[in-house]
Amino acid sequence: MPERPFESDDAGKQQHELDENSPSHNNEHSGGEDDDEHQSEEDDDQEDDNDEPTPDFTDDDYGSDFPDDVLCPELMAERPQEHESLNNIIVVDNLPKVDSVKLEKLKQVISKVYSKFGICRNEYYPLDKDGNTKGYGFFEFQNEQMAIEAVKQTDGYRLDKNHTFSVNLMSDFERLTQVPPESADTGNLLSWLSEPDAVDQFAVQSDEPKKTTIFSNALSGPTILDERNKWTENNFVWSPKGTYLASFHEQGIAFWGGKEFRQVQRFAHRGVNYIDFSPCERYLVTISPRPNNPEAFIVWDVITGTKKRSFPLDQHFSQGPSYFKWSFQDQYFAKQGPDGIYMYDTESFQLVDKKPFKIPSLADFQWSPTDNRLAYWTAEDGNVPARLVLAEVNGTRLDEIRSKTLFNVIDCRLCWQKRGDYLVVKVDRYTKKSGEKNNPKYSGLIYNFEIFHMREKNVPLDTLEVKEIVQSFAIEPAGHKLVVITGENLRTNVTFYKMGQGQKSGKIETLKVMPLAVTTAIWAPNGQYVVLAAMKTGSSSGGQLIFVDTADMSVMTKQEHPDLSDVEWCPTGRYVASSVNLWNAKRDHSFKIWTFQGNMIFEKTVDRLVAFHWRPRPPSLLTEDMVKDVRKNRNVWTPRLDQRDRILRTGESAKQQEQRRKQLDEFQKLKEKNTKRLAIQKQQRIDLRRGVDTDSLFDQQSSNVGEELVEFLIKSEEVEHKP
Amino acid sequence: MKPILLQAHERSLTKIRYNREGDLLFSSGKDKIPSVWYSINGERLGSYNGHNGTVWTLDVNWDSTSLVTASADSTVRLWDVQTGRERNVYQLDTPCRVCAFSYDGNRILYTNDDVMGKPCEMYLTDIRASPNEGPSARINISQKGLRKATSGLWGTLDEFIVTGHDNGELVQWDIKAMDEVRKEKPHSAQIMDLQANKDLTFLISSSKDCTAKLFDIETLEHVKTYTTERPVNSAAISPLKDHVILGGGQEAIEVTQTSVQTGKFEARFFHLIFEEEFARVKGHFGPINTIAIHPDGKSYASGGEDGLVRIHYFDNDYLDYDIAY
Repeated sequence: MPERPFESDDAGKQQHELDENSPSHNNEHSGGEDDDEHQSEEDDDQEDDNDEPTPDFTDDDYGSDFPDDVLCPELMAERPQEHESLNNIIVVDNLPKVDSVKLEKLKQVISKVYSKFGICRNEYYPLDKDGNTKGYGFFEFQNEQMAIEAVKQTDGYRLDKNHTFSVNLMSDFERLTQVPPESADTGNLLSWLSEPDAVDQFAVQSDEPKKTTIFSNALSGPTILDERNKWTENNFVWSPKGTYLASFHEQGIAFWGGKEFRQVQRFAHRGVNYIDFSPCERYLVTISPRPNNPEAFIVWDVITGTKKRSFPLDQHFSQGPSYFKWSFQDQYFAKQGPDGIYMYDTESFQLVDKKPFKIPSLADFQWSPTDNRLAYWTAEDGNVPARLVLAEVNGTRLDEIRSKTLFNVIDCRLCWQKRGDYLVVKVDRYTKKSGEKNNPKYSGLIYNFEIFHMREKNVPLDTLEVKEIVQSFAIEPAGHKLVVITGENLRTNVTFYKMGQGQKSGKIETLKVMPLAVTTAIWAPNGQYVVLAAMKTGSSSGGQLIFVDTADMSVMTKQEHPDLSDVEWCPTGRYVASSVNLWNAKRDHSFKIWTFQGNMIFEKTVDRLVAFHWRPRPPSLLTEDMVKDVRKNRNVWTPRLDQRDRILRTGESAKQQEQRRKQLDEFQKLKEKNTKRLAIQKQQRIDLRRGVDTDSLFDQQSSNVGEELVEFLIKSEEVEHKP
Repeated sequence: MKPILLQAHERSLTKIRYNREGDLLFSSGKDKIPSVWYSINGERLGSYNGHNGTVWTLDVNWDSTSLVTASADSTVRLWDVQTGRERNVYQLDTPCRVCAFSYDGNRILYTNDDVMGKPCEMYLTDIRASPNEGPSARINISQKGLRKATSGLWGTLDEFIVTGHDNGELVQWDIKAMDEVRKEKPHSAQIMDLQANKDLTFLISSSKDCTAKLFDIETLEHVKTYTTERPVNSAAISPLKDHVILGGGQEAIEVTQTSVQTGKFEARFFHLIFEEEFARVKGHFGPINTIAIHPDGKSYASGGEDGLVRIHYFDNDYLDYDIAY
């Protein structure tokens, strides 16, 4: 596989069949197609002034020491050069396909486009057997500069809605067709999903030495799948469905995938700090936030590797990957602009309806993960109160579905449930405001949760009031529970709420309050289980991990991982990984893997750990009914899976025992050698210790253990010796 | 497994050692006064008064009649174990770091530090001779291009000596030729301790580089490595089972910033052959400086920076336990 992803470019350009009648063959200046001649042409390319002149133009007998270039420079400049014709020709692709009747019209339109670059010596439109054009054409210019200029200016030229030119130099053609079909042999990018036991993978990055390791979390413990030094320069990112591993380089981003993690695609963008994927991983956004960078943001097509659109840096960018927010099916992407939401569609990569959605004092917005809906809120502005709005994208319109006006708002946090069933908004409000206008001071803070029931008619809205400071909250990804952690520092309470459904809608039931010192709640991807974790904050090193089953609200286990910096569930919800990375702790960088019940199954120290991430999985192909069916037939499945686990375990332990037996045998040999030596030296040892055999002290003792007399001192005196 | 706590040292422990039978436990610390204890119940039998500085190490001969101690007061002293009487004083120029009895118990080896412009030297002395006669052999370690010796012991049949150095080197010296015969550099940082197994066939070294390593004592061939994430100050090989016990922890200098939990001051049990850790014993609230296993292998003692010696008698669970293979 290529170690350096950025040595050549243009891998993905389209290829054309070379038509027999293409102008390069008819051209009268053309020398011919023999390889040898091409070779010599290339030599001519690096023309020196005292280059060996061609026999046609010099006459040694004439006795002139001056080369032709000096004698008649004007004439020599126009000297026909054999390779010239190739450089003068451009190939224009994506022309309209027309029949012979319309061909003349097309020719007129196209020549109008190209006439401004210079005289078009020759044009050629290949025809199929019915006399229709094939959708591309060849144009020959008088010189190379014109051709280059034409390529530069008309590549990507939009003739009309359906036809955007793709223009290349004919001389590039050979180079482009010679690009090895790298991307072809990456194999099945989804092969990792066919693992029979759905074993999850994870990647670990360490700094110094820069090393990325990919593990497969098998039942008997993680095994290394791949390990490479300097795979990426600082960090790595998995694509949202886990297909690609993105590595960061000075020149851009490279994607790796398939069975052997070969390079799949690369995106040349200098100084990329952050990347962001669209949810279906069709598009990639690379962010290179250098000041005054006209191409700070580039949106790429992941599969073809082509640049779709670029954006300059603007003041709304805050460090981080999520500058653009993507709708759930990659249809739209939007950013917050100075006067509202700038929404682009991924067909044209232009603003939807050619203008932004004007929303004065827009503070934040978030897309629903399952619908073309978005939620936004506008901040208080003078006498205008804050507003919370739920809106739906309908073609070029943004229709409000539900809204709520809120007074005395400091801040809102919009949070969608993973299945899109709920939108939970945490609202921080004040009762008193003082201080200056630009630097207000708030007092008497109140915390509210506004909960939108998305799946019910008219989208009913609940309000939940919380008295204490809310540290964090988390919604059950597939379910109806809400965990809120309130309080300050280590005196925190964890409260579980259940959001009422159907007829009970509007009622929020408090399930349980647990007085636990934690900072974050992390739900299992399928709900029910939650890990409450105390991350390292300020002076407190944290490290508590509390595993809770919310079906019966019981604490399953309490565990510890001091200086904890991150907790992540594996995408199938079977394991939890906790890690300590170098940003959070000075030493003991490590990760631990726990079962969902909180039993530790693996622990590894990784010096200077940068990141630990599970490889994400695409959503399950099972429908909700099928999942229900599996749950119903658990009695059938459990014994089968248990048996499978047993087989895997015994296989693994057999391997380990084999290994141990080997080690034991080797060591035994060493011991035997030593025993022999000791036997030979026995007499010498006895001699050294005045004839006493001290080798077998304890063997003798064990035979008459009962008769040993032990004396103890009852009183002790310090005796000073005076010499 | 309730430990017996020995609380006589006012400062941190430097060395503990059982006699051959294991009924006595000798301890030395930075508080100048080495002590001797009954290992069975932790009762103090007496102390050896006379040193005027940290006692870095001690050793007892095979018939438990003599004790030798090396101290930062630049003396090595020889004591009568039973009476606590000082039998001899060997005066050196700089602090003494290492001392050890030969197999026959007639000779001692000791070294001094290379400070104050003096070289690090190794001395061999017959304890039956008068101290005025001077050492029977004297090797200038610094002159040989080696770093300061930090630990040392006698090899098979008193034919050679092995020393550990503060750059992680391990050197074997032939006694007749009085010269180095083998030199290895198994560790990247200071060797803190060297201990042999019961029949003097293996050697275990402990190092600040967070590992302990097992060697063949004659060939210095590296056999096994036991890896931890903290400096290892001491390691001992069990005479009964295929186990080794490692003691160490976050360095004393950094301890004030470290909680007990992250300092990892536990005694750690590794399988001798599989190099796998299978148990830990908590207790000390500072790093463990020295570890010794009772010659019957049924108990062990650890001495820590916290000034405590803890004697642990193993439960039957441990004695019955073995890693499956």
